[in-house]
Amino acid sequence: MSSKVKRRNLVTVLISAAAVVAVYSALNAVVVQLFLPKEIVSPRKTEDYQVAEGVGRYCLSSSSPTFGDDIFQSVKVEGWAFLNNQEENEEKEIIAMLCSTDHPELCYLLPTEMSSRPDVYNAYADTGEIRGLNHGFNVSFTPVLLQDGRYQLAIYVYENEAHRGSLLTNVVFEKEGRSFLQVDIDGE
Amino acid sequence: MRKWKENEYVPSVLSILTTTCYPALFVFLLNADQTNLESVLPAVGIFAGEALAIWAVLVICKMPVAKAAVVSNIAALCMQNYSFLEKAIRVVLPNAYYWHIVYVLIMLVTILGIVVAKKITVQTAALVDSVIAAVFGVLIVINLISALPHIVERIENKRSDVVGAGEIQDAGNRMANVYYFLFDEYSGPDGLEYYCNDDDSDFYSALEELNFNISYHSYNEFCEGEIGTINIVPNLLNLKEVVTPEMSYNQKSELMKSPYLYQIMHKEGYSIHVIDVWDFFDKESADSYYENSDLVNSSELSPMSIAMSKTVWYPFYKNNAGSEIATLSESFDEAAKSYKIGQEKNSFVLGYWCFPHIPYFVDQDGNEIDGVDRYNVKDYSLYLSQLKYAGKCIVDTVTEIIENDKDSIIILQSDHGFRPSVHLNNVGEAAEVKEEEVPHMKNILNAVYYMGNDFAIEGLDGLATLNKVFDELTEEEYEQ
Repeated sequence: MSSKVKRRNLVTVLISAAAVVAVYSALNAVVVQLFLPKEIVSPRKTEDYQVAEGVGRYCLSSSSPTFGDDIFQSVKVEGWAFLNNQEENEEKEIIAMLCSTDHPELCYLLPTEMSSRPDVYNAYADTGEIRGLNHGFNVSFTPVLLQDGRYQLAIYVYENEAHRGSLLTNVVFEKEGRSFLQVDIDGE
Repeated sequence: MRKWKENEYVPSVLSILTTTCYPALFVFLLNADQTNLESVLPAVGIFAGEALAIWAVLVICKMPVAKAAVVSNIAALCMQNYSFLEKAIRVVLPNAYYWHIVYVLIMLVTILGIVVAKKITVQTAALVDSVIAAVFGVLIVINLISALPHIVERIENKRSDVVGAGEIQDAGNRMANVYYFLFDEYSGPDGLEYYCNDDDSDFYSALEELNFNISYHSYNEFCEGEIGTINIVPNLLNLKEVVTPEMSYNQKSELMKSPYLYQIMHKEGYSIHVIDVWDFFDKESADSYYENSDLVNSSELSPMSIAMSKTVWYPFYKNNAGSEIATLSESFDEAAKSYKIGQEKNSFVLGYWCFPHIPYFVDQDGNEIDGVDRYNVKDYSLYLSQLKYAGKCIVDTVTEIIENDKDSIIILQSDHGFRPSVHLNNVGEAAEVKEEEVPHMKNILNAVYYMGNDFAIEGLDGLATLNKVFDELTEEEYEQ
């Protein structure tokens, strides 16, 4: 075999190897984009989502967060939340947020599915601080595309233009490589 | 030469079929006395189908038939033994997700395919195919021959008519409700210390606080030393040793239909309520029955489940751990609320949990664990973790019963202790059962709450404990 052919073969092998490594590196994004089931959301990264802390109440269900054993390592969070408010809130929205504890500007948004919770309304109706029935929420998300680091779960509630803000929970996650775990708030 | 080419399809296809059918058939034949062929056919179909599809694609792409079969066999082996390969790849790529591992395997098979296509002659490939077909064919035949008696017996066995457990007699007086809960493979403290270096002290302390009498050194005896549930539970339910070595699995199962214990409880005026989500006990002879098919389908002896758990398809084969945990939780709830049955009349509640027995699906806090560890017998911490969770569920259950039915009798037992080497053999990994291990595998959970009173059972085996309880309760010598 001539040295020219050898060199050509070597170049082919190197290019193929580089292509294989490139595909490997891009696999997370590709797989999440193409195969993530509809019921699981991929957190949307944002760096300009600074919201003031709201005044209100929230509760996560006793089983939240629930860690699934699917290949996307889905995590389910559910509960209810409202901000103290007596005005119209037909456009109410609840968005779960994963706020980096290491980088204050880094946050991931998780749009939730909302549900009616008359029990929550009935429980707090006497306080005069609750309006409407749409206070329940649930979301399943995959941590695959999250940057490594610690994230505190916050619940952003939009009741109306005058009443919006986030409620910080005591749930903290830690992502390190493939591992995504809940850690105690004090870091243990 | 032409004639040889025509015949190359036979060893090629045979090699693919034997390679792909062997793992699932092996698991089935190993458990032929307890399971049906139908349960393994889907796995056989999936394994053979995927390998034949790869072979067909390569042949369509003009690869010689024999070479295509070699590549197809390599791919099939990778898919079937995915869990081992995943562990190996994770040593190098610890942060790799499932799809990364699959991608790496596809690349490896592709490279091997190129090597087969370029460097190996058609004759050599055909020879390799023939050898593979012969080796796996012989293995299947050997396993088939050894399992044949069990298969024949299973086919011939016709379920006999259920013998009635007798009518409930009107005893006329209120007696203590009896709860007998059996936890498969809940190791006693000695066995747990031996295998897991843990004495389960939290669990036993909680039971002591509830006034349970505990035997820390109880060992069940098994006929011919074969430590298995079916060799002890018929004895327990009949209050004497009824299992003999020559009995088949089905004959032993028959002994649990309308067992002697049911008969005497009926005679004493008790209604019998069975809680069994694993479909182990006979339904017909109880007065009421709580079941749920979710856990039946995920039991240890599902060859489909075992075969699929090691393959590349394991994430998509629904083990449904979430559903298992929910069903398990419901069954413990049912047990905790079973005191309500006994509020009106004497009741005997018999519960069976194939738990903390393999498969492993829950950690000590009740969270689902990674599906890839479902049959990972080698990691004893998985068993310990599942046992700890079982202990918490048991304590919660009996606490609720005692709070509501203080003057009751609660018997907590297991059939045997932790048996890692037995499970390794069941899932197809030959393991020697060491002589010194045997006593530890027989060490059981044995605790009795006797209306809050002292009740000495230390050192008694499961059968002797039951006889003592029922003799005391009925003031008769029931041991036959």
